[in-house]
Amino acid sequence: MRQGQDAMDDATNASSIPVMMDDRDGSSDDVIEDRVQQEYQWGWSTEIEADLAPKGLNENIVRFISEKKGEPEFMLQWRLKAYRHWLTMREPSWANVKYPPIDYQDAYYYAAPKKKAELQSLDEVDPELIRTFDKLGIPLEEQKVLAGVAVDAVFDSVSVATTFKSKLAEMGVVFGSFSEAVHNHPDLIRKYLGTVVPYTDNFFAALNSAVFSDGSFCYVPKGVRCPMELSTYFRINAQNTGQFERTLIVADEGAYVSYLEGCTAPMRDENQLHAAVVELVAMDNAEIKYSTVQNWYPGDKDGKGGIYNFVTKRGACRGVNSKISWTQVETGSAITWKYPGCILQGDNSVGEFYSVALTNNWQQADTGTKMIHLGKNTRSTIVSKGISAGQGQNTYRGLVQMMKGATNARNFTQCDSMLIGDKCGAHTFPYIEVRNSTAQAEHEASTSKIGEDQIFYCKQRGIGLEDAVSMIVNGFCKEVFRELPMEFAVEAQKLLGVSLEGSVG
Amino acid sequence: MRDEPRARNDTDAVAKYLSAFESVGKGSWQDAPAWLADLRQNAIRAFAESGFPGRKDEEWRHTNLTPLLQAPFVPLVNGVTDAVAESQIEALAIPELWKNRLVFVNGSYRPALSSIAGQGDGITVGGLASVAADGQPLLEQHLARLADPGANPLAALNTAFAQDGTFVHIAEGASLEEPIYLLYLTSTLEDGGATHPRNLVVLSPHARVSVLEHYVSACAAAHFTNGVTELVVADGASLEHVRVQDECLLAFHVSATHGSLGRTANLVSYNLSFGARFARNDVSVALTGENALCTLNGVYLGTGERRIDNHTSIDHVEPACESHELYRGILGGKSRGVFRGRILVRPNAQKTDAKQTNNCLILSDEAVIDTMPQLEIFANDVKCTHGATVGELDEEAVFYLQARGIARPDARGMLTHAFASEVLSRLSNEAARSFLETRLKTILPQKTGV
Repeated sequence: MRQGQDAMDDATNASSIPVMMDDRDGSSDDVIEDRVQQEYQWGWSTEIEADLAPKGLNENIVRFISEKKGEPEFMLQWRLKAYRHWLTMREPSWANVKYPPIDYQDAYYYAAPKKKAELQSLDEVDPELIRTFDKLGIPLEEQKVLAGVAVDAVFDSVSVATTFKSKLAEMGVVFGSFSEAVHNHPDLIRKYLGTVVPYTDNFFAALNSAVFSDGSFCYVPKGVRCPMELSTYFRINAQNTGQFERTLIVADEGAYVSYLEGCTAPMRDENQLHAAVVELVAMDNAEIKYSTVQNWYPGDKDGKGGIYNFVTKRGACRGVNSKISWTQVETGSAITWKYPGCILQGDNSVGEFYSVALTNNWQQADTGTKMIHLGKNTRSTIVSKGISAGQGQNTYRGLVQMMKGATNARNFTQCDSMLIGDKCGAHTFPYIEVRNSTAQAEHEASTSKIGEDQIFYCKQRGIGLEDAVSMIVNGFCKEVFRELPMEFAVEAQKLLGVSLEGSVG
Repeated sequence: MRDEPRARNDTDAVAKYLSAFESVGKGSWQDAPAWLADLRQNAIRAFAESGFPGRKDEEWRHTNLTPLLQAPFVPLVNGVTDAVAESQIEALAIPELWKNRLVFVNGSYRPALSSIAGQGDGITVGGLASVAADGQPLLEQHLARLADPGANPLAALNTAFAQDGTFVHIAEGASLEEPIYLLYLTSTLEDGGATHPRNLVVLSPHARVSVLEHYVSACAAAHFTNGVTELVVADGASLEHVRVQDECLLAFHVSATHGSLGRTANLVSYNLSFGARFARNDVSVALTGENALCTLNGVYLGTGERRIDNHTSIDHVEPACESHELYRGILGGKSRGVFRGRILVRPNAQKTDAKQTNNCLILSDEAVIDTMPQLEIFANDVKCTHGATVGELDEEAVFYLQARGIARPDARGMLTHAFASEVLSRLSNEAARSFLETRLKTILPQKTGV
C-alpha cells in the first residue's frame, strides 16, 4: 500500500508542473526525430521451406493438422468439437481496438519447417535456423552454457530443438513441445487440456483449440523445484501463417516452476494473426511464475502491417496456498488483446499480475487481467503500467471478482498510465465485483506525462535527453521489472529503450 | 456494441408503452407548441426503434430492468390523482426550504401549493407546461438538447410522456440566495402508476442559484418515477444541484441528469439515493468551456433487496477544466449496487485535472457491489486519477471506539453513519444538510452486528 502511495505521489508530482509542448529545444527534437524514424531493428525473413496446409479453414484442415501431427483420436475429436463450436461464435467487438475485418479463410493454418530426423544435438539443427537465432541474439549454445536455460525453440509452430531435456528428465520434469507430450504423456494432456481455458471460452480460444499447431508442455511432479528457468522463444516466420500456440503448464503439489516466454518477429507487410492459449494449473502449495517479453513486429510508422496478438492466458490456483504470478512486458504487436488471469480457487492462494504495456506509432493494446477469488483468504495484486506514445492507444481492462466464498479475500490494484505526445490515448476500464462483505478491494489509477522538470533535472546533470527519458520510463516501470527474472529484466529494459526513446512529449 | 442487435425480450413492454402514448401521452400538453409535439413524436419513435436497453448494451449491462418491465407502468394523468392534504405534503418536505417551492403531485404541477419568493429580477421559475404554452424561447432552445432521446431509451420515454416539470432561468448576473426547492410527490393507492418529471435549469452568464429536487412518495404502492433534468450553466455561472431520491421501498426510480458547463462555470451536484426498490441514476456532465469546474457527489444506501445503480460521465471537452467526484455507497441486506464512473478527456482538453473516488461499504455477506471507474484519456498534459475501494469497516477504527467504552454495535453504527455523512457535510445549505443527516440516521441501522 505504502509503495503504491509513493508511486501515485510521484506520478502526480510529475504532472503537476505544466509545460507547453513547443518549449523543447530544437536539438532534442532532432534526436527524437531520428529515434522515431528508426526502423524495426530485428526485421528480416528467413528462407526456410515451409510445409503448408492449403489456405482456408474447414473440418478437413483440422483433420489435416491432426493427422500431420499423428495425434491420437481424442485430440482430433477435441479439435473438431472446438471447431464446430467456433463456427457458432462471433468475433468479439467490445475491446477498445480497431482493425479491418479478418478473413479467416484467407490464411494458412499449418506451416512447419521441413521434417528432419530426430535431433540429438544442436549440430543437427538447420544452420539457417541457428543463424536466425544468432541474429536474434539468442545463440543456443551460449545460452545453454551461460544462462543454464533449457530452450525449446518453437519455430513456425513446431519445435525443432529441445535442450537440457535429460537434465530435467532426471528430476522428473516433463518439458517439451506439445506434440511430443501428446504422444508421450497423453494421460496428462487428457487430464488438463482445456480445463482452465475451455474451447468454449471465447472466439479466439475456440479457434486456437481447433487448429493449434504446437506449443510447449511442462509438468513438474510433486515436490520438485524446477532447477532452471524454462524458456521458449517463439518466432513467426512463414508468410501468411497464423500462429496458434498452445501452452500448458502443470505444477503438482509443492512444485515450483518459472517459465519465460519471449519473442521477436521478422518484418511483414501483411497483418498476421496470432491467437495463442496458455493454461497454467497449480495444485496444493505449488507456484508458477510466468514471464513474457513480447516484441513482435508492431507495424511501420504509418501503422501498416504488424501482428495481431489475440491471446487467452489463464491460470488456475487449484490447491491451497498455491500461487500464480504473471509478469508481462508488451512492447510489440500492432494490436494486443490479452488478459492473463488467475482463478483463485484454493484457500490462501495468491494471484499476481505485473504488466508493462507500451504502444508507439499506431499500436493498440487492450490488456489487463482477471482475478477471480473463490477460496478463503485469497489475495491478488495487480500492477499495470501503460505507456502511450505517438498515436498509440493503451487500454487497461481488468476484472476483480470476489465470490461468495471468498472470505477475507484481498485485492490491490494499481494502474498507472504515462502519455508521451498529444496524439496518443490511455484508458482504464476496471471492473470490481464484490459478493462477500469481508472481502476488500482497492483500486487506484493515475495518468500523467513525463515531467519536464524531471527531464530538466537529468539534463542539468549531464544526462542526455534520450537517456533521461529511458531512465524515467524505466523508473516508472521498475515495480514490474523487478518481478522479471534477471535475464529478462535486462532484455525488457533494452526493449523499452528501443521502442520508446525519443518520443518525449 | 457494433452490429449487436438489441435484446428483444422486451417487445411486450415496449408495445404497452407505445399504446399508452397513443391513449394517454398524446393527450397531455394540448396547448403545447408544434415544436414540442414534434419532439415528443420523435422521442417515442426513437424509443420504439430502440426498445428497452438490454444486457447487450454495455451501459446497461449491470442493470437488470426485468422487474421494471414485468408490470406495465401507465402515466398517472391529470385529474386522477388521489387527494393529498397539504399538511401531509408539508410533513414530507424539508421545512426550512418551504418558502421557495414548487410542488408536483403525481407528475403535475400544483400552483396552489407552490410559491416562489423573489420572482422577477431576472428570475423565472415555473411549471414547464405553462412556460411552454407561454412560448418561452429558451425552452425550444435547450429542451432535449443535452438528454438525447436517441442515446437513452428511458430519457426518450420521459421526453414522450413528460406531463410537467420545472423550468428555472436565472438571467445574466442574477442570483437567488434561497435554494429553489422542488418537491415531487407520488401518491397513488394502486400499483402501476408512472410519472415522468422533466426539468430544465438555464443559467445565463454569471448567474447563481441552488436547486434541490426532492422525490418522495406518500404511499406504499409500486410506482415508477422516470425523471430527466437538464442543466445549462453558461460562462461564469454557478449552480448547486441536489437530487434527493427518498421514495417508498416499492418504487422504481430512473433518473438522468445532464449538465453542460461554459467557461469558468461551476456545477456542484449531489445525488442522494435513499429509497426506492430499484434506482438507476445517470449523471452526465460536459465541460465545454475552459476552466470550468464540476463536482459530483453521491451517496447510495442499500437495504433489503434493493438495487441502486449510479452511472456518471464527465466529458472534458475544453482545456484546463477540473472535475472532482466522490460517490459513497453503503450496502446491507441482499442489496445490490453498481457504480460506473467515466471520465473522458478529449484531445483538446490539455491541463485537465480530474479526480474520481468511489468507496463502498459492505455490511452483509449477501450484498453485492460492482464498481467500474473508467478513464479514457486522449490528451497528454493531464492529471487524472481514480480510486475505488470496496470493503468492510476499518477494524482499527472500530477498536479505537471500543477502547473508549463504546459498544461494538454502536461503534459500527457510528462509523457507518460517518462514512455517508462525509459527503453530506459538503452541502452548502445548513437546513438541507441537517434534514438529510436526520434522514440518514433513520435509514441506516444505529447498531450493526458482528
